[in-house]
Amino acid sequence: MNDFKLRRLKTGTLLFAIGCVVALLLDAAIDRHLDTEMEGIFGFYCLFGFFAIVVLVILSRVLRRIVAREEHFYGD
Amino acid sequence: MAIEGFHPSFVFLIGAVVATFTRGTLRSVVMVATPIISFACLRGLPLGDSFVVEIAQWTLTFSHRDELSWIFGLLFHLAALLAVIYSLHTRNRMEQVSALVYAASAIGAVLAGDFLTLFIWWEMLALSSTFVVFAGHQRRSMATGLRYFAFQIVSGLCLLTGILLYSNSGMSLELGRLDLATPGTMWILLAFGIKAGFPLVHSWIVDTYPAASATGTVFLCAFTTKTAVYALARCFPGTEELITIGVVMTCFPIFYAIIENDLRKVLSYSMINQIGFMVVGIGIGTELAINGAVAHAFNEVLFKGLLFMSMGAVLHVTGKSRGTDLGGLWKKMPWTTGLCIVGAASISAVPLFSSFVSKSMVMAAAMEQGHTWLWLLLLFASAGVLEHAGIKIPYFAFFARDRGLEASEPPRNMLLAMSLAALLCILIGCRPDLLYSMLPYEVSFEPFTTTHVLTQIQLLLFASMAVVVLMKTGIYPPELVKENLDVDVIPRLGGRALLRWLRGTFARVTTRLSVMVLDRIPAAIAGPRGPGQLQMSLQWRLVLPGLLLVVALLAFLIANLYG
Repeated sequence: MNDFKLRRLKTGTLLFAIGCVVALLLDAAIDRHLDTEMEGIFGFYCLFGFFAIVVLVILSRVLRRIVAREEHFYGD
Repeated sequence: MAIEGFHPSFVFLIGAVVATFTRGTLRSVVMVATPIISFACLRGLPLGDSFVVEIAQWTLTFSHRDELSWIFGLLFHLAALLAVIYSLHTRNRMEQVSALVYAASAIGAVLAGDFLTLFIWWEMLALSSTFVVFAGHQRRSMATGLRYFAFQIVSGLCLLTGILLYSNSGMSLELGRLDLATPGTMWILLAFGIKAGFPLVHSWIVDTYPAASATGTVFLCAFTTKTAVYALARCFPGTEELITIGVVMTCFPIFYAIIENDLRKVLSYSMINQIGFMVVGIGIGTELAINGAVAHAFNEVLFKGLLFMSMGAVLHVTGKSRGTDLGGLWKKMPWTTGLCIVGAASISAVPLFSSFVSKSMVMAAAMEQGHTWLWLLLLFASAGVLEHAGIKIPYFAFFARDRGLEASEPPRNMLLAMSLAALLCILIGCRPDLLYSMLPYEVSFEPFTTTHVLTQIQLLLFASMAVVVLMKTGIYPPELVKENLDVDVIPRLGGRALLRWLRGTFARVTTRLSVMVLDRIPAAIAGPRGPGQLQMSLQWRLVLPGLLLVVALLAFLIANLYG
C-alpha cells in the first residue's frame, strides 16, 4: 500500500471514530424520547448496535460449522 | 392520463403476445410501452368492483380497487417498468415474454376481488415465473426451476384446498378478512406463507434467485413474494401468529447472510429478513402497523430491486457473483458502485433513505402495543441488515481485495434503471409524505424526530464499528466457497433416496404387477400370443401407478365438490 492510500485510510478511520464519539456524546446532550426504561441507559443504541453485531458474528461462525459443506454437495 | 374500461393485466398479456412476434427495437418499444399503457388503464379502473364475470354458479371479480390494491398495483407497474428497462439489452425472448405474463399475473392477483380469481392469477404467477427461471440458461437453471415450480404448485394446491373447504362451510368467496377458526383458512394461510417465504418453506427463495439470469432475478424479486404480502395484508391483518412467524423471518436469515458467499444469495436471505418486517406489521394489525408493512413492501421492491440490479450488473460484466471472486471493482464501475451504495443505505435505514421512513413504522407499532421483546429482536435484525446488505454487499463486490477483474460499466439501460430506482429510494427517504399519502390508513407518524434520527445513527455507526473491529481482529468469518445447508436439504436428499427406492424396490414390484395385469391376464383371456406384443416399456410401468394416483385424487376432489 502506498503512502497516499495509507494516509487516506487513516483519515477515513479517524473521521469514522470522531463520528462515533460525537454520536455517543450527543446522547448526553439530547433528551431522548423514551418508550421503555432500558432506552434510558446512556448510549443504549450504541451498545446495542455494537454487541448485536458481535453476537451475530460469533453465532454465525457456529452456524457455519454446522451447515457448511463442500461446494458440490448436491452434485451440481 | 387514464384509459377506462380496460384491465391492466390484459394489456400486459397483449404486450406479451406482441413481444413474442416482434424482435429488436420494435420489441423493446413494446416492452417499455406495455407497463406505461397498463398504468393508464389502472388509473382508469373505477373504485370498488368491476370486470365481473359470471360462470356457472361462480362470480369472478377481476378488479376490486381500493387503497390497498391501488398501491400494490402502482408498485408492480413501477417494478415492471424498471425491470423491463434493465433488461432491454438482452435478446432473450423466452425471458422477456414470460416476464410480461408474470407481471400481468401479479397485477391481476392484487386486483382480484374474490378467491377464485386470485387462484387463477396465483397459478399463472407460478407458471410464468418458472419460465423466467428456466430462461436463465445457466447450467443449473432447469433443475432449480423445477424445484421452484414444485413449491409454487404446492402453494397453489394449498390455496385450492383452502378455498374448497372454506366455500363448503358456506362462506362467501369474496376476498376479505379471514378468521383462522373457519375451516380452510389454515390452508389459505399456508398457501400465502409458501409464496411469502415463511420459515421452513423459504428455501425456494435462496435456491432460485441466485440461479436465474442477471435480468430474470430482477423480475423475480419484485412480484411473487410481494403478491403474497399483499394477500396476507388483505386476508390476515391482526392475526397474532404472524408476529411470531415474522420475527423468526427477520432473525434467522441474517446469520446465513454472513456466511453465504454468493452475493445474490446474500440478497435472497436479506429479502426473507425484510419480508419478516412486513409479516410482523400485518400480524400486529393496527393502522400504524399495516401502513408500515405496506410502505415497507413498497420501499423493499425499490431498494432490493436496486441491489439485485447492481449485483446483476456485476454478474453481467464479470460473469461472477461470489464474494471470493469479486473485489476492487469501484475504479472500473464507479457509477454502479455509487448506485449500489444508495441501495445499501436505503435497506440499512440510513436517515434520508427509504427504509428509514417505513421500517420504523412497524417497530413503532410493536412498541406501541407493548411488545418490548419483539421490538428488541427487530432492532437486532436491523443491525444485522446493516451488516450483510449495507456493508458486506458493496464491500466485497466493489472494494475489499482487488482481484484484477476485467470490467467496465454495464450497458446504459441497466444504469438508467438503477438510477431511477436509486432516485426513488432517495425521493421517498426525503419526502415520505409522497408515499404516506397513498397508504391504506391515514398516517400520523413522524419519522424525522430528533430521537429517531439520533438513535438510528448511533445504532448504524456502532454496528459498523463492530464490523470493522471484527474484520481487523479476524473474528469475522472469511468468505469461503461452501454450500451452506438449509432446510431444503431434507427434501433434496429425501427426494434422491425416494428416487433410488423408486428405481429399485418399487420398480421391481410395479413391473411384476404390470406384467401380471398387462401381460399375463390378457394373455390368459385372449389366449397365447407371440412374444413381445404386449410388452410395455419400463417408463410406462413407472408412470402407470402415478396416473392411477392422479385419477384417484381427481375423484376425491370431485366427490368433495359435489358431496
